[in-house]
Amino acid sequence: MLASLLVRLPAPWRAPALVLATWRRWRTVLMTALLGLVTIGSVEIRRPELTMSLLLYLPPLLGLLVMAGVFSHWRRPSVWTTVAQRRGAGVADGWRLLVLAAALYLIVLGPFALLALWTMPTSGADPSLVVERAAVFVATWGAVSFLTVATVSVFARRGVAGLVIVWMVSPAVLAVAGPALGISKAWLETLAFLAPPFHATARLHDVWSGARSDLTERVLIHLLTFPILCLGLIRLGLQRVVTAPAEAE
Amino acid sequence: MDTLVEARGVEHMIGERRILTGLALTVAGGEVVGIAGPNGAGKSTLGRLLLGFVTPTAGMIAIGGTDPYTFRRMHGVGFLHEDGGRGWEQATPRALLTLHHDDLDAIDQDPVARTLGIGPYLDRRVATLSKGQWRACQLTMACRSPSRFLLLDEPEAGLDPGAQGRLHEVIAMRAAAGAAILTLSHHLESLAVVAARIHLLVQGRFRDHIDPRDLSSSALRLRYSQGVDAANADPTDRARAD
Repeated sequence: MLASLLVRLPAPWRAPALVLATWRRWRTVLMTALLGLVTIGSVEIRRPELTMSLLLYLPPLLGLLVMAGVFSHWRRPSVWTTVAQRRGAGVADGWRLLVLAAALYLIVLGPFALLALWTMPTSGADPSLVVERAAVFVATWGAVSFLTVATVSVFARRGVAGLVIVWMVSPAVLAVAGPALGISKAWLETLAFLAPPFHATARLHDVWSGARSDLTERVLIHLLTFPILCLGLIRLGLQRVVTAPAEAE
Repeated sequence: MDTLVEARGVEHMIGERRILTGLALTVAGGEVVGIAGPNGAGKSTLGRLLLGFVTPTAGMIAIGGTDPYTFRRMHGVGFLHEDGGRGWEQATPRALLTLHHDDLDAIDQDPVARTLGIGPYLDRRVATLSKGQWRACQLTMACRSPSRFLLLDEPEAGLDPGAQGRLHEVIAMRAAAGAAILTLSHHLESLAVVAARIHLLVQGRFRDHIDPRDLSSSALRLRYSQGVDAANADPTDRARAD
């Protein structure tokens, strides 16, 4: 059955699809997601802090589960040497694998996010505004989380979760430790652009609605430059994997 | 016959450790060349260099007039590796063969697949195959590759004598079709059946170049032992290996 499905795909997509299909944990991810959905749907969360925690922590956790697993599977010597002997094997395989992993990530994250937004408690505030704010946050934070985890997963062979956490909390660490280390405010602000734009995602709705127009430039620049930084790093990481996979192992 | 694979003065170091020294090698289209040597001689490293997975520290390797990485990307390589099936447990051999070919029905009728007898387990999961069955599937994948260059690392490993005979048939079939084939192996007798030349690689150097056609099995083993003993007796090489 898998062979019949694969042969219907354009030839360049077969290897990434085969890698994703043979990654053993995707079924576990989907089953866990389904179980989680049933639980949330039946319990019906009515506590705002729980819903916001779900929307905050779920994207990076799912990203870690999917991206780190898929790229680690791709880099296994037996898997890599099989797919790398095809004509045309190279960096493009990595990008296609990233697209397929993104699809799996969205398939799992989407229903969770929709259910959380659907059941979101509003505590007397305008319900449409609360849901709109949360929807903007989860969409942006989902994309930022995916890019962060994807970048680390392509580069690192071990300790992906730790590196992701360090990268994500680096602005807070710098904010605390920076002045003690004698780093100027201008440098701290510049360095903050190299970290995942958590604050920008949290402020995007305010900027969007005009409530914080003073932050517009900073928020937009961070949200636009971070994907460029990540895609550049992913390109470098993929190049490193395809030109030196044996040494990499 | 045109030379497809050419290596000159190839050296490779990993950190401070010298793995390969001054290797020169040619393989022409339609030719089968064997590399024999004990464990740790550098055979698999040479294989990685020829596939473009690693760049040599010094020297030149050209395949089809270009570097190994570019050749592999442009034309593919039929590569049989030692690593086994970890990671592919959930796949079937037929699914893996779709990486090279579009016609699923033709796989059953393919001369390589028929000769290696993999038809009965094409649709079984890799996890359920024996080591020999999985090896035959890997060989089919490597030898059905449309590439002009095949690199077979320990192709006899896990095969029973009957399957080894079928392997030799397949190698001869691909060589007759013009492929340049390099086999890396410990199995001298098996190499002698298929290879026109055998290079003896010990401690990263070619110690002997053997034409196996006129040698008996015992004479072949003697040449191998003499080459290995000479390398081990060389104090320079012993120091380097340490």
